[in-house]
Parts: sequence; structure tokens; C-alpha cells
Amino acid sequence: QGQAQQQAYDRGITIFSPDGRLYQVEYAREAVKRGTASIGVRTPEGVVLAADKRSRSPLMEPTSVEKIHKADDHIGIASAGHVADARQLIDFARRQSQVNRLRYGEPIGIETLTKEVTDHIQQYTQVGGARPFGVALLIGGVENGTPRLYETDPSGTPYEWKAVSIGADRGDHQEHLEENFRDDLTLDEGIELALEAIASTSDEGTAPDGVDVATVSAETERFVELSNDEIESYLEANDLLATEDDEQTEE
Amino acid sequence: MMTDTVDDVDLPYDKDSASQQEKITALQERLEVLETQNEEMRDKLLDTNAENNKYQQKLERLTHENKKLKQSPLFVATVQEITDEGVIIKQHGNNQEALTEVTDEMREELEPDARVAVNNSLSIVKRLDKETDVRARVMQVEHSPDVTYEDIGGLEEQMQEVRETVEMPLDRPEMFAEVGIDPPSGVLLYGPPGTGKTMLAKAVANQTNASFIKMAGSELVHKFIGEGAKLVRDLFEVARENEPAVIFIDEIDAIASKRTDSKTSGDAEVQRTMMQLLAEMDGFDERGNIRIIAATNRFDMLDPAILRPGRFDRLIEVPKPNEDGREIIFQIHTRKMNVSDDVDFVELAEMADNASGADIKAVCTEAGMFAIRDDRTEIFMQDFVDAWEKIQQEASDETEVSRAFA
Repeated sequence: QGQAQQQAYDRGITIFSPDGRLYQVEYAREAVKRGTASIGVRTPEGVVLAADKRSRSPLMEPTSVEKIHKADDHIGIASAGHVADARQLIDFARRQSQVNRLRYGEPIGIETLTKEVTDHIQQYTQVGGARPFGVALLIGGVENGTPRLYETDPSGTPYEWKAVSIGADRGDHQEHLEENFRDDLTLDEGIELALEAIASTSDEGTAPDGVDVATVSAETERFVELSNDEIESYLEANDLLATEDDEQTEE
Repeated sequence: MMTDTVDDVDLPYDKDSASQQEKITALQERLEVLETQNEEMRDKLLDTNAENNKYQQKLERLTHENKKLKQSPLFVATVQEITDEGVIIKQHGNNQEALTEVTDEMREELEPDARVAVNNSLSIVKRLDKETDVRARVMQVEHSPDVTYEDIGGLEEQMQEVRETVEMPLDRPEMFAEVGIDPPSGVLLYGPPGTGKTMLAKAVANQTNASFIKMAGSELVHKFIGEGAKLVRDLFEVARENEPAVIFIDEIDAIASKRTDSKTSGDAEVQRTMMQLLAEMDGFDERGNIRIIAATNRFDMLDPAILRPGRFDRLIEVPKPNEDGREIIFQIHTRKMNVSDDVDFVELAEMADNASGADIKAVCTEAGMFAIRDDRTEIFMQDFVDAWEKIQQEASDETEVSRAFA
């Protein structure tokens, strides 16, 4: 009888283990690591979101792999982890953005939105009969002319970052960002830094349809997704482009 | 017989006609004959007596043995205490203690903790040798495996470290004494399966002059409480007797996994075995000139206590080989194979991305099989490529789950 209880700390999300851990939440973080990387970089000129979405089959439409989402005109969200969970949270975020506009007649603040989302995530760590979200988000946008970048994790904790990576190879990417980030990056340099970080963990180089990049510039306060051609030129300029040969072996 | 007087003796002369002189001569002749005869008889008697003695002895021995066989067996007991009133012994099995008298001679032989044999009435019959488990003795490796350092590819650094820890203290103990440090006690090899951890140990066993004792961690797990711990103790006892010695424990995660709160008695016993291992490695007793090598592929599961310095001083990661390593391993495994000139090891090494040493061995064997299937004795490059693809197929089947993640 005693045994069953002791081994079951990871069964219920509402139960703390004796050393104060919530195992299900930690397992949900593992789900985040199963997703490909998403990277956010904050520069004085705006926020950059980039995502690795290399496809597993040449027959799959690259656009159907959703890693970067527009939450509002001035907010983009990049996800890593369980896709279906991510979509639920994106919907929630979009709804909250609209609610804010209707209620207060102004665009929602990045911090406000992040905390709405994390409060929602947190409920799933404290209520029985549900499971935590197996996804982490990067919420980036511009608030009153200031770029902001937030991370949410399955526990529902919000963090603000200058540059951050979630998903697979987080450690390596984060290391790359820490070494190369400067406070005075331009938006272009921010995109380059994010792409370099993604490329740093792949041997073959990166194909333009294997990454998504979006920016929210401080000037326009508009979420913009880069086209494949634009991404290609960035990759080419930084010598990160995959050669045709490698692309084939990858498939 | 000689003293007996005989009345009706057959006289050797005629009673009436013979003269006195004749009688004397005849009698003397007769006496001489009798004396020689007597002599002969006496010799014979002596011989027979000797033989009789011999048979008597044999009979005695056999009766003794017979009696011994009919006797009930002796019990084994341990001496607890030697006092003026006698010796306190504790019987094995039922753990009953008894006070028994001993002769002064026997008393000299005894000491507390000695093993003795006692009879039915619990008096000590003889002292027995110290026991060490046969299972521990069996583990001593007498025939060294035919793996040498040359057979290991791509692990130069690891090999260097193992040799430093294991061989240096045995070969040049004075170096350590002069520098003033205790030589490291053990190395723990860890890494993914098939990367050559056991191979390394085999090579050490082959190369070293020390006695080599090998065992698998699972061998230490036993049904009864205390048995595993005792085996560990005996193992180190055997090692101490055969100093210098190298103990190799394969798959140590079987006994040295993290201690948990789990109250299942099976786990608890395994953990007790581990604690004995901890105590032997760096406990109160002098460990002696014994090096320990352990291997595991579940490094994350090991108890932190076994990893602290003083136990396994050196934690050596044995990773999957890099490209250069793979090339060397291909060369090693194809050493005895009839390989065609078109086989390019550099290309093979590049192709077999993420392969472990064991994978490469499998590729080589499989390539050989392809050749045999084709009724060839020479192996071509294409065989290796086909073999790699075949082994790859078996390995990767994971994509379905990961569709849910991005």
C-alpha cells in the first residue's frame, strides 16, 4: 500500500514529490525538447523570431509546419514542442489580444499577453484530470515602441529575454547566442544571429524552406514574415545555405 | 616346542645292536638336521608374524573408516569468544550459541571468528580454513582474453587514462610514493552501448601481470539477504590474497543504481550489496593494491556515493567513435577479411554516421554475408554499403511519434 503511493508521484500533476518537484510538468518540458528549435532575439530595432522546421519528407508541404504564428498585428509567437498544444495556446493568445482591443480600445501589451497565457498554462499544472501543455512559446512584439521578448514554459512561468532558444539543442543554441549577442544589434544583425544559431547545430547547412523567420520592427510595430527569397539572401550572405547535394542526402 | 620333551621319538639307530659310539654319531647327525630345520621354521614364523601385523593394521584402518562413515556428520560453527570457562561457539544455520570445553592444544589453535567443526555433543573436533565463496574464486580470470590495445580503435585518450590508473600504480608504485599521492583506486567507464567499454577491460586483462577478476553486476544480486554483500566481501578477499589485482565489474548499474525510498525488499537488498561495495572500495579496511574497473551504459542511474573521489576517481566517458575512430575500427574489423582494393575506409567511416563500434562490427560481418550469398570470397565496397543500409533499417523506426512535435 505504501509502495503504490511512493511510486505515483509522477502520475498526478497535482501532487508534489517529497523533494518538491512536479514530475508531470518536468515531463512536459521533455516534450518541448522533442520539437525543433525556435529562437528569439531582441534588438533595439525590433524583435526577431526564427524557427527551424526542416521537413522530414520531401512530399510534405513546408508551409504546413507551423512554428511561427501571428497573434496580433504587433505580436508574433514562435513555438516548440507539441504542435496541437501550441495551436490551442495561440488561439487563446489571439482571443486575448482581441478581447483587449475591444475592452480597452488599444493593442494588448506584450507582458500582459504573456502573463494571460502563462496564467492559463499554470491552471493545467494545478487542476486534476488534465495534463500540462507540452509546448513552450516565444512571445515577441513591440509595446509603445519598445521591443519585448518573452518565453513561456509548461509550468506557466514567464521569463523575459534579450535572446533565447527553446526546443531541441537548446543548450548549444543558447551558448551561441550568449557568445554573439550584443545590445546594439540592428534588426538585420538580429536575423543573422538567429539564423547562425540555428545553423550552428546542423552540419549540412540550412535550406530556405527549412526555416521560418519573422520580425516585429520597433518602427512599424508590425508583424512581418520573411519570404523564402528573403531568407535565402540572408542565408547566402552569411554562407549558411545548404548546397543542392546536401539537400538531397538530407531527404 | 623346543622345551617339550617327546617320548615316542623315532630313534635314528637300532636300540639293541648299535654301539655307544654309533649312537652318539647318529644322534649328533640327527641333531644337526633338526637344528637347521628349526632355523628355517623360525624364519618362516617371523615372516608370517610380520604379515599378520600388516593385515591387522589394515583391518584396524578399515574398521575405523567404517565407523567414521557410520558416524553422523560434524556441524560447522564459529568461535565467538574464548573464555576461561571454555569456548563459546555459535552454530551456523540455527545460530544457537553454546559453551564448550576444549583441550589446551586446541585452545591454542583457536581465535574468535575462526570456523570450527563440532560434533553432536558440540565439542570442537577441528579448526577449518577460512571460507571464501567458490563463486568468488571462479571469477578469477586465468586465461586472458585475446584482445590487445591494438584491437581498440579511436579511443586513444580513454585508453591512456585507463592505463594510467590501472597499470602505472602496479608497474611503478615508487613514482606515486615519491610524488606523495595515493594512486587512484578505480575507473568507471561509461558510454552508449557497443562503444568498447568491455573491450578496454579485456585489453587490460590481457596486458597486465596482475591477477584479473571479472564479474557482472547482476551476479551480485542474490535471493537471500546478505548473500550479495558476502559475495562482494569474498571477492575483495580473493583479490587481496592475489595482490596485485584488478577487479572488473561489468554493468555495474545492476547493483549501483540510485538509492530510492522504495520499500520493496528486493531493491533494498540490492542496495545493501552496493553499500558493501562502497565500504570495500573506500571503507575502514585497507583496500590494498587493488584496482577497480567498472563499466555501465546507464551513468545517470548510478548512485552519487559511488561516484565520489576515493571510489571511482576517474570517470571516463567512452563515446561513440568519431569519423577517424570509425575508420580505424573498420580497419581493425576487416584485418582478417578478404577485402577488395576498391573498399575505401574513409568513405565508409563517413557513411556510417553515428555508428558505434559494435555497429561497425555488424556491418563488416553483414558485408561478409553478402559476399557469401553471392558465392564470392572477396568483399567489395558495395557489400559494405548494402550492409550499412540493412543495419540502418533495423535501427531507425522512430518517425511516427515525432510527427506530433515541431
